[in-house]
Amino acid sequence: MNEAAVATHVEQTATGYDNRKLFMWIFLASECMFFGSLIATYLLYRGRSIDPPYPGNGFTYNIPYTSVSSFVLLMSSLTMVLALSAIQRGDQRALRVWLLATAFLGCTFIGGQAFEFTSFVQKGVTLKQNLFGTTFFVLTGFHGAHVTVGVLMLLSLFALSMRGKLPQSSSLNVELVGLYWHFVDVVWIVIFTLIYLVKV
Amino acid sequence: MATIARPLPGAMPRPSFGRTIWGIMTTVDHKKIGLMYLTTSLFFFLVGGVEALAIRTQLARPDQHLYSAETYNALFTMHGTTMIFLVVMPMGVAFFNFIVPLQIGARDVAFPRLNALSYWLYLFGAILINTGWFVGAAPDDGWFGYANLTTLAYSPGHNQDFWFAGLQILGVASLIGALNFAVTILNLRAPGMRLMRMPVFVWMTLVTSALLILALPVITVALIELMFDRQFATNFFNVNKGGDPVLWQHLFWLFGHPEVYIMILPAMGIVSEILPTFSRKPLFGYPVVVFSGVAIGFMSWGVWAHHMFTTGLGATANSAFAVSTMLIAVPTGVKIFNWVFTVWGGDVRLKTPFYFAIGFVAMFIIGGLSGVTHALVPSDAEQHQTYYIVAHFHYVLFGGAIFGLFGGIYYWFPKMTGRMLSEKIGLTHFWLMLIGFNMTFGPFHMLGLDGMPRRIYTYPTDRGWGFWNMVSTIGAFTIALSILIFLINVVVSLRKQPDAGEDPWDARTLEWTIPSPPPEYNFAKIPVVQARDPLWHQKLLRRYMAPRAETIGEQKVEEEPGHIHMPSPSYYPLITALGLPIMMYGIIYQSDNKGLWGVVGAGVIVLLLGAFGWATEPT
Amino acid sequence: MERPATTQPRFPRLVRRVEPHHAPGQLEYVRIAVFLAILTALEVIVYYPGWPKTPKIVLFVILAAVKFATVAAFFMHLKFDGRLLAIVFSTGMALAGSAFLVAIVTIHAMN
Repeated sequence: MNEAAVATHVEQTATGYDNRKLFMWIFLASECMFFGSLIATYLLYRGRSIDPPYPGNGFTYNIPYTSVSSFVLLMSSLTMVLALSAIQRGDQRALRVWLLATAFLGCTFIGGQAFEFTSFVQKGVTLKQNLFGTTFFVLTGFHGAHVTVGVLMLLSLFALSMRGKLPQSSSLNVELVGLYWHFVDVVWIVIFTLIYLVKV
Repeated sequence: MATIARPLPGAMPRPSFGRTIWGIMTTVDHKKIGLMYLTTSLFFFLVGGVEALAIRTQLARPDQHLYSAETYNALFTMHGTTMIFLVVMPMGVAFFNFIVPLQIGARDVAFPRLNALSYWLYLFGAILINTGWFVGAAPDDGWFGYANLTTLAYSPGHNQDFWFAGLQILGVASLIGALNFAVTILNLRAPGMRLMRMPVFVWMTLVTSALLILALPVITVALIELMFDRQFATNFFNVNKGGDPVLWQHLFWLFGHPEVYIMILPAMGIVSEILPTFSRKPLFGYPVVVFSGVAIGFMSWGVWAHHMFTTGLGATANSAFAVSTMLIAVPTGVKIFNWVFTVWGGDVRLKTPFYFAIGFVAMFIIGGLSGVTHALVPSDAEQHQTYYIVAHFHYVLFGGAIFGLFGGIYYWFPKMTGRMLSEKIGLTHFWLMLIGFNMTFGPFHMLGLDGMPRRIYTYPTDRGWGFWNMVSTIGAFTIALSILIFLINVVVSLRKQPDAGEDPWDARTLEWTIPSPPPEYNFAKIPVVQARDPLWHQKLLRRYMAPRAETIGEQKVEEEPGHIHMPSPSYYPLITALGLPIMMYGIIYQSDNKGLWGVVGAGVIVLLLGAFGWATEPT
Repeated sequence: MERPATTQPRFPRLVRRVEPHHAPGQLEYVRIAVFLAILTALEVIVYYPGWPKTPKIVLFVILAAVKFATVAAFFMHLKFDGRLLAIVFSTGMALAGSAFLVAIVTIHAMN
């Protein structure tokens, strides 16, 4: 197989979108239903716990605290999109900085979530205590797991870039991780509003 | 990247057992994976069939106690689960795999290694869910797994653990497959293969994939909730803590109703390929058939609560879902009429695939009509939990899906293997199966209206259900005989039948333009599509404009054979897939011994190693 | 043989490609982020005063929808990447929204 043969083997797709990008978007549509099911379960069981504590009976969310961690996650979307912009310009240094920044903000969010979980447990809200604990921990836990997977992918990108294996031509890799990352962020926007802010 | 060269005669490595097994374990070729899906699903068809025969034997006569009631529960649970998740769905996927890339003029699917991963996950999920038989804890709460019957308090053994763990893996397998096929169909179409020129089977694959992509996450979450309830003592379905078992019903049927169409749409697509070919007429009203399929896909999201009419949803919800359920009969009816009008006035050739397609249409009409009777809420209240329901869904899933899928096997067998299936044996198979099928499931209508409940282990003599049950059991063994004849047909035909050639049926679509079985690269030159039914179009042009027509369909020479780049074989899909069942076995047994969390960890490591190798493997 | 980085779609009607220089620049991304930050601050401010429940909920939902749409349109490039992707994603969103709304209403009506 000669080099020319490889060079001409550029994927030409029927829609013009790269296979992987289309895959990611369809996957995200699927994820909408995943988080939709979990959020629906939470909303359905809101206020139906029998044993306290739950919101409205011996428990209140720490809104300032969670607002800050929501803000951190929101800003990680900015650093993510700046990382993409950097690799598209071919600026490897900026790419690494923004990738690390995004991963750092993601870790901050997860750390914040771990602290929040601990404080909830101290207030008596556990997975087993009541419906509130069950639905809250499973919903936010699966969201946190998604963030963790995102952080792992960001760190992999960073490692690739450090070894010089993430050239400008493979900016799609960053774009795909970015799409996933932003999605996890918008899901948190929905969770923060429906679970934390809206009181019924 | 592997470069496929035309093999020189005599230069092929001699096939040995080890090499064949290694080839299967590492293949990423959509045709081989399609055949693997087909054989595996046929194997589980036999398993599910044996379970069905065991059920029918127990019910053949009143007051029988051939085996325990607990075994009976496991049998009907595993029969349903097997036939739905391990037979009908993957057999549809077998055809997606083998046929869709050929019909759209592609060399493979968009993600060949993910395709292999789907297959291995399917196989491991199937093995996991059947493990219960070997450790004396087969799932036994029905294929629908209604909570809170399935929670730890009411199902203390590991039975339901195998069920949720197996289904979870099968769900991941289907999701990955569906994403792959959606991208393949949207992106890998040959030049000129516009959406409205795609064969109806490809359209139905696209709709099925969309349904899977959107429906599977719902069952995934339901299974996660069940798993947490069972393994980590959460309260999703714990009534003592305010949990609501009706939530399970909603989540399950939100998935479960699209699932019904996930099973039937591939068969509808196959029938839409067979009928025009053997009637020598283009499909009547192609756009209407396509849009009806899409409409069915959309509407399948608005009817789920008709499975719950007797749950007590209230008059408003019941009425709304009754209306939407009756509405979904419209696009289905439209399709039936289009099939009938396709055959009407056609130059019909009565070959085995055609018989199966007509069998599909006829049986599906019966199942569809009894389905409309359940849409009426008061009527459903009468029929609910009786054999009448069992009659209905076997008419749509066996009379419908299985007849359609067997039609597909007879239609595409020559393409897959290069040999025709024997017509004579094939027709024997068809008639025996049709008669056996109606003998088995026809009497269920009578039994159901006579009040025989579903899932009962045995029944007293004085109910008068003995006669029809005996008829049904004889019918079931007739079906078994017909399947045996089918297997004989496969073995005999592979040995004795003549070569099929490229186009044995004088067919319409691109898969019949290439040799049977197709070479690894499918198309030496990527075809250019200029019409719906491209092969017929090409044949007509050849006949009427002979000199110019030579170039039709192959104007664009992309690459010469010998320089076609195909994806290399890889064993990483197999390794990656292995991680999930290991994790699941760990999760199942950690409730007995916390040390088994180590097994879960080992599964994660296997998964990560596989994924890492996968990502760094040169392609 | 070099090919242009953006491949020509075979079926251009589904795609509306925008040349890279039409995509937002870094400064614009920062501006969008500031906008999002302001919305988040608004949410916290609205949370505290003792306003009546309903308008508060409506306001929260609107703010979340605007944030969601902004991230999807600009950070995820949906605004620039053509119709097909937007159709795919909105199908998922719309279905998740409507199906679960109906499910929750149905269950609540039962009790």
